[in-house]
Amino acid sequence: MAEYTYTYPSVLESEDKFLDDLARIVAAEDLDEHLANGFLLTVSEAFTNALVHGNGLDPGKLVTVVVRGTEDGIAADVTDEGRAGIDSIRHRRPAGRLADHGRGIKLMEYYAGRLDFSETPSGGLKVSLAFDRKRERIGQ
Amino acid sequence: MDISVEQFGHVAVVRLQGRLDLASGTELKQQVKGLFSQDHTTLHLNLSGVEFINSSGLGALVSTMKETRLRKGRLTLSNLASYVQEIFEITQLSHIFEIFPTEEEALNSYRTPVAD
Repeated sequence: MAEYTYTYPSVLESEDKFLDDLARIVAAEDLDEHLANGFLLTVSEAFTNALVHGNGLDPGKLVTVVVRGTEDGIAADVTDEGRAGIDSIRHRRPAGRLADHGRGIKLMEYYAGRLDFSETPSGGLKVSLAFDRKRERIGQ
Repeated sequence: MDISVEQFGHVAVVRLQGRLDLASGTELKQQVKGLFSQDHTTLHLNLSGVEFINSSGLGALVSTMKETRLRKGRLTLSNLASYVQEIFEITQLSHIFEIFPTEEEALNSYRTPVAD
């Protein structure tokens, strides 16, 4: 099993670096195209939520991304250092048709084989996503 | 993300290259704001170079569409990669945007009246 751990300060510039890192993992793990696209998209949704909503773009707070690749699949945990924790998920409202925001969780639910939310002891949110290599479309 | 703009008649064609995410979505909105300030309210976005899009990028496109509508303009999209098209379908945005297979077909649509 390969494990990759990255931490990023909560600034907009981290987004590109995170996507570069994730793209390297996707290449190293030899994911097929559909799985790679779904993985990149959903982990990026969790990352952006952590950066903006969890940590409020506070450069002093970190987003930690841990990815584990196995023969059977790939999994990622994205953790913020915010205080909203699980309530930020419980109290979310579905995006309106013309809303600028709010589609990220729907996309995570569609693509991920497993999606879990948990709270860290300090009140941060941890999003855990898992994908099975064998299923052609794992969100179905 | 690289954003280039070319004028075809009264249509401003905006071509996007790279990732459309939170940071580049903000960049796109700024670019479009500049076009609006020059009274360009008829926009076509060619997404052929978009190699990645997430919900923040989708939000930037929705915002652009709403701003265009507010100005009584028109916004079309073209050249969506298959996985981008899939994301539009999952989020039901494919029903909201005018999407054409190619830029040429989109530009042709500006030459013929659109039925209500």
